[in-house]
Amino acid sequence: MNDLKALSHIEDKFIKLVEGADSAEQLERLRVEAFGKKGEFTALFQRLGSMNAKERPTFGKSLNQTKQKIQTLLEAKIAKVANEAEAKALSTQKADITLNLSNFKGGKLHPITAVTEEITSIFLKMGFAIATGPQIEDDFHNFSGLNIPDDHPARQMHDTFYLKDSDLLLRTHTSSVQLRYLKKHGAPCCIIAPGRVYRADSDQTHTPMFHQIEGLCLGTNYTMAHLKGCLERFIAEFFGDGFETRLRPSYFPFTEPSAELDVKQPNKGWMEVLGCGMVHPNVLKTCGINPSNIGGFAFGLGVERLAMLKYNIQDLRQFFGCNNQWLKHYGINVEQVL
Amino acid sequence: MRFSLALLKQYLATQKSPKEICQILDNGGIEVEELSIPTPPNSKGFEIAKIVTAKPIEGTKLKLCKAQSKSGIHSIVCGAANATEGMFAILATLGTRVGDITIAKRKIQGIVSEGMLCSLEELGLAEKHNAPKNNTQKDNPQKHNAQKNNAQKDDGIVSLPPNVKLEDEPFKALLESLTMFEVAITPNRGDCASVYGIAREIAAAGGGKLSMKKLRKIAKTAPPSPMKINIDSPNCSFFGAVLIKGVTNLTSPPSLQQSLAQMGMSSINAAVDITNYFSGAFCRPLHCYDANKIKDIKITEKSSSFEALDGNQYKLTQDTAVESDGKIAALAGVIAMFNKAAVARASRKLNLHTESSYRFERGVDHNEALDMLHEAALQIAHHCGGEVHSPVYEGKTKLPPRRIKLGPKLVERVGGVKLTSSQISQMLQKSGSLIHSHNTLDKTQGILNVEVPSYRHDIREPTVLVSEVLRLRGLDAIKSQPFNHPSQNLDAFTRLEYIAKRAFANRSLQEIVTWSFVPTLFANKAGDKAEGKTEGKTGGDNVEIANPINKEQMAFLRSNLVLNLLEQEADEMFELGPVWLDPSLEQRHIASIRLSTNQNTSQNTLYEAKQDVLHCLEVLGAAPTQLAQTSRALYHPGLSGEFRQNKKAVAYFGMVHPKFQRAANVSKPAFCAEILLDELSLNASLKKEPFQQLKFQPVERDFAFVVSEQVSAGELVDVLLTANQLITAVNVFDVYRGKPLSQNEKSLALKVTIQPQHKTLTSEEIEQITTELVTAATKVKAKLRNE
Repeated sequence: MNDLKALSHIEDKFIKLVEGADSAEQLERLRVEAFGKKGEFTALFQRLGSMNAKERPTFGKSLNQTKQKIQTLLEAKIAKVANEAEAKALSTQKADITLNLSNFKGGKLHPITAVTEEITSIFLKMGFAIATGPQIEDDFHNFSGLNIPDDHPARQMHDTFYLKDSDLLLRTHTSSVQLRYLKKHGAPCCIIAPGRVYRADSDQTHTPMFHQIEGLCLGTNYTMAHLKGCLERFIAEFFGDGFETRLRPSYFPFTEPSAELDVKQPNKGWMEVLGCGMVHPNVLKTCGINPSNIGGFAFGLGVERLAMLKYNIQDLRQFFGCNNQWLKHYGINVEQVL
Repeated sequence: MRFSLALLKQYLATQKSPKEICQILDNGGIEVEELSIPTPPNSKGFEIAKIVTAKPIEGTKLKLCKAQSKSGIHSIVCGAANATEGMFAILATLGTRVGDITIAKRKIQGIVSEGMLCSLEELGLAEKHNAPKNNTQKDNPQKHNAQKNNAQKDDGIVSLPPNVKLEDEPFKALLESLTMFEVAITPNRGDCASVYGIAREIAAAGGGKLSMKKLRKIAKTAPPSPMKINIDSPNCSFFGAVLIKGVTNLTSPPSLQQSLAQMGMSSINAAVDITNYFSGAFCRPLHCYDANKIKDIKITEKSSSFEALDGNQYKLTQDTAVESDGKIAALAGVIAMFNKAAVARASRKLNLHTESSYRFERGVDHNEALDMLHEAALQIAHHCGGEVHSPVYEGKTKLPPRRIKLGPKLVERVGGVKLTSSQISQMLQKSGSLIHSHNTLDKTQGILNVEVPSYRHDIREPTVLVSEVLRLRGLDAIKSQPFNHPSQNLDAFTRLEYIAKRAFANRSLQEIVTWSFVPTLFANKAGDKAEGKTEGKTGGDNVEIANPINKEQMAFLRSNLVLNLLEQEADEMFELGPVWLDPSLEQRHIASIRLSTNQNTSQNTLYEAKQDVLHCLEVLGAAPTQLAQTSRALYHPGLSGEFRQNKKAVAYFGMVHPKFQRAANVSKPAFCAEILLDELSLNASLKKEPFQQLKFQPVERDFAFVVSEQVSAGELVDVLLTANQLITAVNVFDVYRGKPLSQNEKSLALKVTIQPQHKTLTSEEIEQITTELVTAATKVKAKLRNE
């Protein structure tokens, strides 16, 4: 019984001592006093061996429980004191977080690249593949094969650049790729063709070079309803929801019927976005396709125009130069996923 | 094309507002580019007044006018030159606020004036003469002919049309004459290239009722004409003429002048004004000739010079001309029923676009040519006097009708809209077509036999009729079909651009886009062709444009990107785009430019440019096999290099040759990197081998070798790499020149990496490799620096 009493005393003593200690050194000393080779608990364990079989289990159990308890208290206190010491040490170390690493100059992509990629990715998702064609074209691919004969008034509106001493010209639209592709691969097809185009015109709203993306989708059962569905989906993905669209009759020699697609932002007026229509039977015949079996739609959109609408760009001419401020403002970081 | 609301209302009875009219036109495919509606002042105190008398006040330019309005007769002193008896004007009565002043009774030159006859400016309605509008519509010649659209002359008081009533709302007629529409007529809709045509279009869409006075005919009793007409040209289907003898050609009456002004045309004289009115109002180009200079008329194909009414000489090559006495009197359709294609060709060839050619090109209505000639001749005689003779003409007065078959099936197949045969029939009839009875087979399939109006030149095929039906129905009727196809991947050709651009952007370069043209000062100077990529081709580097809009900047297509970047004085920028050495050889290049901040660091900038190339080639998977000095004329001969694949240069870097920098006025040394993207062979495998952790730590040893200036670092590195097969890397980290080295020497400090393969190397073994290194270095006569 005395042994149990003594154990209880030791327990009380160490609880108090642990509570009272406030340095790592003190706690280390207490650990030695309790559990070191000559420690008080160690002594009690040594006595256990000399006890009789009757006393031993009871006392042994209490001794173990108490040892566990004090040990836990001691370890917790050691951790606490260590944490406090570290916190104190860290509190003296302070960086001025308002400072920056000097000029990181990541290059940015041009908005024409960004918007072209954005439009391309939407159409890829919709099942269009990319086709290309040359920028120096002949009359056939740019005009006559697209149902724009020599005497067509539409030619006037195209302000064509011609090459010197040659019948070749700079393509006035990406529609020339329609013929290039169809003559090579035939129908059915579903392609877009992005690229530079040229018109001999230069003022506030016209530049002699700009970028277009042509679309062409031919198959056995496409109607204007598919054209509408396709472009509506494109507008929704490109501009986001909340934009209304409408088709308005128009005229292009290589589509019949032809239309313009307008979009309307909430609380704003209608804006003309692109031209489109059902591929003209004459164009199909030119490419050796029978218009009574195969038909479909085509569209052509201006990259700069869409960029201006989406990214609030005012001056068309700024696209083509190296105004650093403008480029930094409208440029897109390469990490951006469009 | 421009026209006023007042003019439109001469041919269209409508209650629609100008905005509603725009809506109708827009929905029908006639794009309204601009609608300008002036804002009138508060109408309180203003009245319509008829000038009963206008007597000059002696010794002044003033007139004393008696003006009758709904409130009585007013005595007004007026300074306007155009104040004449019988004219209707706008009167500001006493107490009326006009701009900043209030009209009060006052004495002018001792005479009491009881009000003011107002000018446009005083009413705040004068057109502001702004700079020309931004969006010039190319197909619209009227823009170029007349910028001003005012129905009223700038000076003088407002003159109202003679049909106004004194009780009318004072500004109504004036506002209608000042409300201007500007529409873009697509090339297929020649029938809308007149005010009447627009009215017809609006009426067909249910926007009002078309109204047209019956055209008069020259009396059968008119004297016969002595003129003869001979058509000797396939491009003229009809030519008619009326001789009017004894004409006194005066200025036009104000109402006609105003009507012309409301179409953006200017007044010349009564006879010409009347023909111009027919052109603008009815799309009926007509022409007045001096009868003294014209005898018989021959329409023929001409190849000679010709002086037109505008005083300019035009050279004709097989173009249709109106000839009299062997002299050319007019160029058919351009400056005077012609084939629209022939007119379009001639007008484009001569770069001569007129009101008349604009209309002939788009197609005018053959069938009413003679009727219009009658009416116009009578109007000229009415205004100018003279004796009207019987018309003479050659050609068919009416063309055979055009009939096209159309059924609901085609409408559905193209438009995706289900319509019944009778719906289609109704719509087409409303827009002027006639529906004829059909044969039994057609009837069972609902196919209509449509006769299109003679003025619709564009409708020649069933699909155009489908367009017409859809247009009349409204494109809103098309219900969109979902468009879902399996998605596609980016192709390799485009992917190359995506990667190359990102590689350059990651080198802290900003992407720019420049013209595909090279400034003329650089044309044929870069020697790109001499680089051997187009063997056998002759001529300069640059493809030349026949009709540049800017001779300094845009007369040649570029053959490289470097000079464009230099000319822009771009710094830390890049471009990816096309270049041409020949019209049939379009290639994509990517190029960067960096300006060196000062001469001392310019070598560093050279290596930045080299790194631009290396980084891009690496990410593209194009391993260069050879590096060499370049002989390309674009670069400084010593400070430049090229990378080759299969002995062909695929990339360049270095300082741009000082002569180009001087020409471009760039003062800082410019360093460029260029990759010929389409020449690359993407040979490096991007496939990864399984990873193997090296078991032994690599050993690194630093050396300094002294070597002659004639030996490049690369040559030394190459021989060191072959010294022992355990050497995996040799990197130069410093170059030293100066004492104690001699003039022609340099010291290269380099770090050699030795990678043990099977066991850790002993110090003896490392010593052995070092000896091998020193021995190898002697191949390029390099010595260890400390020896």
